[in-house]
Amino acid sequence: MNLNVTNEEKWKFSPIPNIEESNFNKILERFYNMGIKGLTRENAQNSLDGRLPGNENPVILTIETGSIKKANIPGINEVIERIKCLEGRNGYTKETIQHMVNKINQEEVRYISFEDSNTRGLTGARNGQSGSKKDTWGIYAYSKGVHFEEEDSSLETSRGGSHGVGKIASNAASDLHLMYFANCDENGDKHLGGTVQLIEHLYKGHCYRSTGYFTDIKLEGNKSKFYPYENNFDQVFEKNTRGLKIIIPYFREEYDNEREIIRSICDSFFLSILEGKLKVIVNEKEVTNDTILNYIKDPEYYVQDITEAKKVFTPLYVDTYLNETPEVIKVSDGVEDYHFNLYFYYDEQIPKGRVAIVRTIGMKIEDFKIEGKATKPFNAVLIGSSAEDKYLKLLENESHTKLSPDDIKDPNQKKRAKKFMSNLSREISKVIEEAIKKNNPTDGQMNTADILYVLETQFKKDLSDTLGTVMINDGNKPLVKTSSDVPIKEKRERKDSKQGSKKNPGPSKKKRDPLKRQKSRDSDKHTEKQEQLSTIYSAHPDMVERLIVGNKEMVKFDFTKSEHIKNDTYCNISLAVIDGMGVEYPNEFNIQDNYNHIIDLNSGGNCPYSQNVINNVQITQGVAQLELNLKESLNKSLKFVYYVEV
Amino acid sequence: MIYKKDANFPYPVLTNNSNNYSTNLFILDVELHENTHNYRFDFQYEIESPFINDLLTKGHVQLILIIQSKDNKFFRLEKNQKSVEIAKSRISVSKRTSIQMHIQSKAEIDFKQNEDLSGFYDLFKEEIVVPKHAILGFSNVVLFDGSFKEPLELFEKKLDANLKSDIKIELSHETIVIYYRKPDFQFNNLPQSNTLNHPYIYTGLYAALQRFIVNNGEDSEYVDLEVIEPPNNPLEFKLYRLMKKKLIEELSINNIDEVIYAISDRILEKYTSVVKGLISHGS
Amino acid sequence: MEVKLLANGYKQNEQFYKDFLEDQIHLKDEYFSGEVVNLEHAPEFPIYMAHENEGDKKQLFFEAIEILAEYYLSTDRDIHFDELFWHSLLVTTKREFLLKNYPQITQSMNQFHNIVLKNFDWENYIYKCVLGAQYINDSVGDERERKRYYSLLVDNLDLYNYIIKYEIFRNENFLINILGIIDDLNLSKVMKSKIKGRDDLGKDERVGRRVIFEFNKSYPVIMSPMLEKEELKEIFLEYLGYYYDLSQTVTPV
Repeated sequence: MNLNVTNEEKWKFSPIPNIEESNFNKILERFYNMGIKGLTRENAQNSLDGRLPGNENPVILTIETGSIKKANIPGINEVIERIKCLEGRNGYTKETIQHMVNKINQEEVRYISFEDSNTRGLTGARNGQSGSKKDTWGIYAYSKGVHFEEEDSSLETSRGGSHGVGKIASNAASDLHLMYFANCDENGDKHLGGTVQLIEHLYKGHCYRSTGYFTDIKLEGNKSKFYPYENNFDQVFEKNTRGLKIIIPYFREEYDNEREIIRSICDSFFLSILEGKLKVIVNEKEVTNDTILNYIKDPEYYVQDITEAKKVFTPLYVDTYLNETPEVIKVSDGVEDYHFNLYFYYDEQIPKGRVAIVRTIGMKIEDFKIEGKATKPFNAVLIGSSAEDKYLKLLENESHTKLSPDDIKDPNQKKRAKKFMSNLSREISKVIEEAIKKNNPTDGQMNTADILYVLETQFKKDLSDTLGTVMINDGNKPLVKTSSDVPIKEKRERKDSKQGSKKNPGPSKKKRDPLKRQKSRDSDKHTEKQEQLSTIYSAHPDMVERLIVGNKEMVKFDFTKSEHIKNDTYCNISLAVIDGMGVEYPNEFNIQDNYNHIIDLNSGGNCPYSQNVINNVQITQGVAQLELNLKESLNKSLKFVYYVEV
Repeated sequence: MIYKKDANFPYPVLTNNSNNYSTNLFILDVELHENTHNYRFDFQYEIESPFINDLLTKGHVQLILIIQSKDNKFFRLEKNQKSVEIAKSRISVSKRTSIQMHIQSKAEIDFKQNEDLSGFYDLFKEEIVVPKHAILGFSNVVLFDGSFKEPLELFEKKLDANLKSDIKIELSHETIVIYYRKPDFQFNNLPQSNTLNHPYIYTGLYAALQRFIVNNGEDSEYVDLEVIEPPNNPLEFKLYRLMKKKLIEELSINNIDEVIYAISDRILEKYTSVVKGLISHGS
Repeated sequence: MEVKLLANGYKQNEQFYKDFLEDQIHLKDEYFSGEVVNLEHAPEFPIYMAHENEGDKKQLFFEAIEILAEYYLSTDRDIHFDELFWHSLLVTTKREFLLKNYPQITQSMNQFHNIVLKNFDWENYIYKCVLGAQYINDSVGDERERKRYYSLLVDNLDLYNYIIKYEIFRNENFLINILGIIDDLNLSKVMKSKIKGRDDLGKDERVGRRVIFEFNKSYPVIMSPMLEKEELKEIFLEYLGYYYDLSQTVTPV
């Protein structure tokens, strides 16, 4: 590169004869629109791509956000000076420049850094701008839009980034389009580089390109060549273990959201993390294969109601991947066959059907919609192996977020890709349709009139909760087991209270009124009298206490727990015999035939009675008490329920 | 011979549902096993009252296990007996089998020492003497029911091209059957077709609960679920259990909708959201 | 012998009746569920004893009870206490026997239902005989004693019907004890007699039924099925006393 610049400035911009292009790099805007998601995704992907070959340990990506003094940002004043010179020619550019200018006076700024380990980092930094493919520093630091190729082709195919634009994602995250990268290589060499994305500009009488490089420069013969600075900068910029660290000062406020960072890591890399290929530490929080479910299942991070899964499908993908057994589907592009593992889950509650298409490194490319099946109730995860990865990469757009044959130039390749895409949709459609058929088996077939199937699984669940099922006859015959109500809760409470601990009584049933209004019973004889304002209630046996001792029968009615009898001071009482099967006989027991006399213990007097009604029983403080004198002939083994008329 | 009904006995009786005893629990659990020739009922029980337990230890009372299927069998239990066996030629479990435990006095029982009685009975306990061969307490009832082909299914969908209407609700022995004249009426070509069928489920439940009231209620308009026996009809039994599970105490022609709401887990709400989704997103 | 079980729906099917008359049932697969029951022997026995004179009736009951006891009672209850089995057996293997002994079944579907496809409950003669045969055979070992009980059962058919009609007393011990007490005290006639002076109980109320009902009302305070015969007898007489003047015939034992 032929640079006519002095080495007094830390940032190097290539001089140009005149300004031709007065717009910001378009990719900036695209990444800006992708927000924090695009940023974390690009950096995590680069880290995964940089994993050490043969190392089984997960790649560790440490993401940190914090504040840094402006003074500690290397060369920042030069960048600010340049920004002051920028001249926008159109609305958008003007707006962006104004935004930058608004930020340059802060003394302390926010930053985010992405530091990876168990990764290779960049190589050959010492060689600077060498032009050699092996010296990845040179490629990464000084060229944009070209990514370096792996010598090992299997590594090459599994790498996430194939467009080499990832760095610009970092620029886009900075208010000043500014990013640094600190590298520590296998030899322990530590260097710091950086780029800033401005527009072509006039500075101190010279025109310069839009991209600035934070780099040293050396003259070799008549050519100048970039060499990186040794990393002696502020602690935020330090990278002391092998790997790469991206530092983005002037971190955009709207990006600065820890929860969103974790979410976007989970969204794109849940599989890498679940498979132990990646571990992400966001400030204090670790997202690993052990902890990822804590985030996925946390309503603060993800909506847990699957009926609401309309845009974000990560919790579903995770469940599908963890719970389902994959089936292999074959997708041809007309020439070659590709094989994918499809994890498939069908649930009527799912509002949108999506397939997570995932690379072998575990990065999700797309929430893939199958034509005509986008609102079918399923969820799926699709993973290939290296041949499939290679093919998918061909189909990806620049930001790796969509599969599309449109960008392919070679018409023959494009044709195959189109075929591949339609076959992929067709194969997955088959699986979906089969699942729908299985769950709705009469679909389209009129002759299967007798096939039965479940309509509602919720009822099934409730029924199985309330019915125990026992199998007999060698498991061929279901037997349902239930028990009449046993007041289990009361038991626990009582035991608790015995031990003196007064726990809250819990969701016990609301108390029933012990008196229940009766529809006009035995209407034949008393109809006329009863119509005069009287009401008959049945008395729950719990509010009546009855005892026969010798030839005396004592009956006590406790009305205090009833809402129905408040102001009444007298009532009539009748009774019905209950037989051994629980059947009630209102006219079976004749009071006259069985009692000699009846004493009202409240009033002390005798109660008048007719055939089966005891009249004018006094209620005192909510209690009525009778003492009945038994005739010899009374069957003392009878049991009753009582009715109260007021 | 199973006895369940709450009533006022002539002396205090120990039952789970009465408060004659302050320590009133008498809980039975039974497991059913079989071999080629026999069914074996393994049982466990817990009696809360120390007084009754003491009578048992002293042999003053007899535990009796009652097994009622198409007829009744009873077993006077030995101390420490844990199971009874019945030949398959003498019992069928293919319909309903009810099992209960009773406590019977072997001699007159003086309640003077009974410290477990509540209020009124405690006051009079000096005078209480329960005669010989009388019941002192009974347990909950454990039910086994073999009359279900599909114990956990509540609905069936069927197609019948000859239907005289588009949709027909039929209450079968065990399920609510929704007949469709055409598969289209099931919305099978739409996502979440099951949810789109919820209005039919609602209608089906309505019909089934109405019949439940007619068959189990008073004057065909009201059922006190606290009082009735579990219905024998398997469909009604399932509905009964669902309602009991949701703590519903009464079902009447006036509260059918509320009961459906309680037992059906927001079916109309789900239906509405699916329809809204279809309208706003197309398919 | 293999008995093919009928599929649901045969009861209300008029065609089924016609096919029975025309001996077509075994030709039509749709009448069968596919399930079968295997029995070593399934001999014929009287299945309907109404409208016979008392002597014949007794004879028919004896015959039925004895055959049931010998050939059927050892099968699982799922077979010999199951309506579907009996209906299937009769319709598919006993057609000739039915037509010969109960020719009235050709007259109408009602008759066919009343005799052959009768609901299997206390009104069904097979049901009555199965239960009686089982209770008596299981609790009485001696052959002559058994005959005595068979006879008692038929002689006290009204009471027997009443006892097995309700679930509560459908029990071996209770039935044997009650029959024994009636025999001991020679109460068969008394039990059948109408109650006098108690119009409140209905016009046709019989002493025996009321005594059993009294046991019903007293259960479970009086755990009557679980009592020994002599214990039960005391209470029996007490209850009988409510409805019958004991001084007339009975001397308490």
